[in-house]
Amino acid sequence: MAVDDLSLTVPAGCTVALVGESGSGKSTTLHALLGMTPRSATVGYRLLEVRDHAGTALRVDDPARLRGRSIGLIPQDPVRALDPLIRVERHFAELHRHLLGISGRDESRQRALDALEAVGVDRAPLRLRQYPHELSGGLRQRLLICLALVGEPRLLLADEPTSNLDTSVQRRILDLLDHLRAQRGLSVLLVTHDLAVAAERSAELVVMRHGRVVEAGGTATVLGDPQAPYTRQLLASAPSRLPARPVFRPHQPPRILLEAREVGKSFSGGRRTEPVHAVADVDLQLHHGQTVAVVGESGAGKSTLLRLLTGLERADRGTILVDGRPLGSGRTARAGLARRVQLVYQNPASSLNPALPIGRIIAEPLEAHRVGSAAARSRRARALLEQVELPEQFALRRPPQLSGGQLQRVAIARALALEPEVVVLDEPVSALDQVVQHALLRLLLSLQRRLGMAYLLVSHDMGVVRAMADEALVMRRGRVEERGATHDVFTTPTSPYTRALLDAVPTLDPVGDPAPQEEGTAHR
Amino acid sequence: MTKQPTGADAVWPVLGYVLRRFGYFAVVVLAVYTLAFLLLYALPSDPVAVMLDRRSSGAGGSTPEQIAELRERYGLDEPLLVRYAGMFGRLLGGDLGVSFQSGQPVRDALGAVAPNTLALAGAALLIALPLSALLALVTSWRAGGVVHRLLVNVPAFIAAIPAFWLGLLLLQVFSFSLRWVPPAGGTGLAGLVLPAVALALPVSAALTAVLMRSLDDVQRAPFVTLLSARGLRWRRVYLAHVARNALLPFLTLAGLTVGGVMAGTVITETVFSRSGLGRLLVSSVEVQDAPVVLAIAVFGAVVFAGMNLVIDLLYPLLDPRIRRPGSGVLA
Amino acid sequence: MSRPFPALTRGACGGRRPWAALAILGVAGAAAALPGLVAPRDPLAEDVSRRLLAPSLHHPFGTDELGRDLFSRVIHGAQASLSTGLLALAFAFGVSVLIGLLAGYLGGAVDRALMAVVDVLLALPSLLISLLIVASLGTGPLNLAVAVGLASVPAFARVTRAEVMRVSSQPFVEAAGGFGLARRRILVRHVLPHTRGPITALAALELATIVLSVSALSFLGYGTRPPDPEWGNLIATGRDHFATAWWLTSLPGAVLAAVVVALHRVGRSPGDPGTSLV
Repeated sequence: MAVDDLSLTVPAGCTVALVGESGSGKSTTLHALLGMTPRSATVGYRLLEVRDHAGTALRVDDPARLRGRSIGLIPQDPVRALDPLIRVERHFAELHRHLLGISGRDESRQRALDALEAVGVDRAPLRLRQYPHELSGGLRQRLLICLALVGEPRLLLADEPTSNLDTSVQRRILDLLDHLRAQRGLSVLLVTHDLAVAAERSAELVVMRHGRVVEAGGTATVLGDPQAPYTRQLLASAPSRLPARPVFRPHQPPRILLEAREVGKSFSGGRRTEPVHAVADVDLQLHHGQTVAVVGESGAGKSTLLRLLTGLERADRGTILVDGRPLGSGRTARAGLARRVQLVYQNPASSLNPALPIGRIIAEPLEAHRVGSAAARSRRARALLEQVELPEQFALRRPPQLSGGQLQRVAIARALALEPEVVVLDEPVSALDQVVQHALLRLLLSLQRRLGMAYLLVSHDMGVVRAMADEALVMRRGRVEERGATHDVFTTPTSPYTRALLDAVPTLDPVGDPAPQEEGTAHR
Repeated sequence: MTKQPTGADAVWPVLGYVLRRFGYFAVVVLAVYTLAFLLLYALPSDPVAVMLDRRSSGAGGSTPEQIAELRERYGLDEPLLVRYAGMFGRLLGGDLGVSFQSGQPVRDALGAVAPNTLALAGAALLIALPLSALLALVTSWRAGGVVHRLLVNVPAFIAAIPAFWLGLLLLQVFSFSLRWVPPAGGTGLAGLVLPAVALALPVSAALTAVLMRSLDDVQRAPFVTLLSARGLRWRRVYLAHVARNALLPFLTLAGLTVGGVMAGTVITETVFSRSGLGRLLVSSVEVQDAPVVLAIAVFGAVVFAGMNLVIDLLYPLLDPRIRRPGSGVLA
Repeated sequence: MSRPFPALTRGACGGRRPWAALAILGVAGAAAALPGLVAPRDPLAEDVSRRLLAPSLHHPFGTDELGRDLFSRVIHGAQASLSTGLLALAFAFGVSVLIGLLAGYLGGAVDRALMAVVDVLLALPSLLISLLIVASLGTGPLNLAVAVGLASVPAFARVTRAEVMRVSSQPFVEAAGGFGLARRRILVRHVLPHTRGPITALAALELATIVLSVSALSFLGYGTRPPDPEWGNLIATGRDHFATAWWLTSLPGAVLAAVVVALHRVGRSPGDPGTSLV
């Protein structure tokens, strides 16, 4: 049963947030409200009511009739949420005609222009002529909000509306939703996995887990004094609640393990287009036992930098030094690099061969470098499992039998097998639920304390960076925008870009005043 | 990214794209000619020996003078490369050579039967395209519905039935048992119906299967869910959005469909004893009549690659995503 | 929680094993392997007194124009049809898997060159390629196997390459390179195991196509010659009498269709190596 015994009330003009981890039944709830469950699902209602403008309750028998006119839906993934073959104007025209009965081209066009301008879309006449793939993610999400509002619904269902967007875009979209809600007296049911987003944006909070409501109430009340153990756990595991990394003060400057000097990499975008400078003139030094974080929005060049540093791609310009020696090519150089630098991927499910037992996976680097006998390798694999706090018996299981968090622990164990001096972490927790994230970050910290290796962390999550890194490198369009001790970067950023990035991060602490604070920011 | 291509900016990539597609067409035709030439003329089996063997069956051996004369007449005494280039030049000029078997110009032999084949292929396409589109649209109306479950495996089943057997079954039922249509070799429209159906069925089975999968895939796209969530009726969402998106991959298969129909004529014309290119090919292959086989192979390549060329040129008009200069397809 | 493993071996959603299809293939395989044991009579024994008899208990498939038992001829025909088919498949499989592996794993210039050739060949109906090869090599079952096998190489090689590329692009393959595993071992341990299932399933589908092509070409008269039975030529010779003796074409055709449908079914079911015929 995906969702069981759920009661939900969304008051007029108010945002209710539905929070929970993946698989908790949030999306199922939204789809059930619209009568859009798959055939295999059965939905039972005791009561579904909609109140009209006067406040009279109307009982609804067929939820499908609510679609568009009473309830609008804003989807999670703006990329695939629009028919790719038709222009923006036709998206509007179709709804105008079939929902409102407006068939006049001029009237439809005027309405579309007004609607786009109302959600802060610039150059609206141009946008109407464009196809969805020509719009950026933020624009598409604004367009989707517009389209959801065509039938003048009184309730908006927002299904993780910003989880695929960069933090700064996320903030603007959420501001827009707040603005529309206040201006038009809409109600918003905001589904999110991010407690901080819920805290900032909602007046009421519903916490779900395993298809059931764990706790519900006013947002301030629930977050200020959580009753359910799960809510408490959720609050405690928020990235912003992790203790900040203590300042790194070595007695003497430690050895430099990994260094990049003016490294650059470009990709040609076709014959007639300018090459894209994915990484340009980046300097980086990673000292023994230190953690350096690379931060930035999507497209900033974080991943390319990481692939250059781990030898997965060759730099066009500049040098990369491992332990003071330039990174060579060829098999022996690769093997030497593998013993010093190991990589943990973002998605553990795809970075582990699903056909092999866990024990073999962990021992494979040892096997590749012919370390010890088979029996010794198997013993080592079990010891590594213990280090990442997994039971020894897991050695015989295969990846599909493990959860995402457990798999990432296996990936870490494999990375530690050759006792590297540097572990490169590529968004190591972003594919995981928050509670699991928290436990994994703590594990990484304690491993570093015990084993003393250096981490190079790539992350878009400021909370994770604050907790993990001694030094932060903010990247923007392939270049280093700002660098410094993490504490300094977070408290006194010198670059306006960094400041904007930090400001956009939703926080748990000033528990949300649901009213939009900055009316103006929605329009740009 | 959000810039509209305008004026000269847009012309060059498009022109380049068109030229590349034409180039590809030429490469395919040339490759087929080369392959056919190598197989038919460059392999050790000697066409003249085969030819004489056939012609003078049982009438004793032939003299070396006869052989030499034949070699000269068919230009087989020239070096391979010269023949390769010369023959291609003549093909371009419309001279398809002379048949080993009959001594007739290949062009006349082809010209005599080509209209029959084109009529058959055209009729089959006229049946196959609407039939498969209709069948797929009906089947995929509701994924997981009763109709879907009933019909979803039918195309794969029909595609697995041997085409020549299907033709014979149709003949058996409609000509011999029911006597609705004349048995074999019939002329006019009545004689065309049964062969065209026999040819169209396997082809439309394959097409339906692909279109059905395409429709099912598009239905799972988030934008379809969202269109329904905005209150549009399913009929509108299905016909205006799902069907249109599903038609694009379907279009790329139309080229393959033409290929399938062409290959099918070989079987169908034999089964129904119709004269045509397919049957001519069958008999020419059997007696290793190289000039006729080569001409038909190149003709097939021109039709097939030409069809693909037309589709490649149409595609950017239908899918805005690949119209953008600098995107993978046009660049 | 939904497991984050989008089935790496495709077609793994079928569920039930295709028992009926496997049974049909088992019977056909037994007939092809030991036709003498399965067939009730001599397929070549003529008996003019028993010409063109309709199917009966005595002659389950009836008799032909020379009084030969059609059932026995169909069983012996299985040997000719399926052995030619398997030979063609072995030929196609060997060549295409080699091409696919080389192209998919080495990538770069090798890949581009091989795929350019394959693409051109793909741009032709495979029947036309087969006919060209028959026209060059001459008729007969062996030449037919080569012709059909070669004609199915392009499509087969393309899919093999796509499979190798799909698995090679998985992060775990890159990860294996990242901790220093040799390329050859990566191919053997991480890439091949995940391509085996889909490729064997594909081989079953390919065999279906090949058996169809072999019988079609035999029907056209390029394969096994009468009086030796083969499914395609049985149907071809049956045509001469099919206004009066429907069983001569219909029953061999039905057997052929059943085998092809069964191969399709097995090819689409979970890629269990034990169920495929390779």
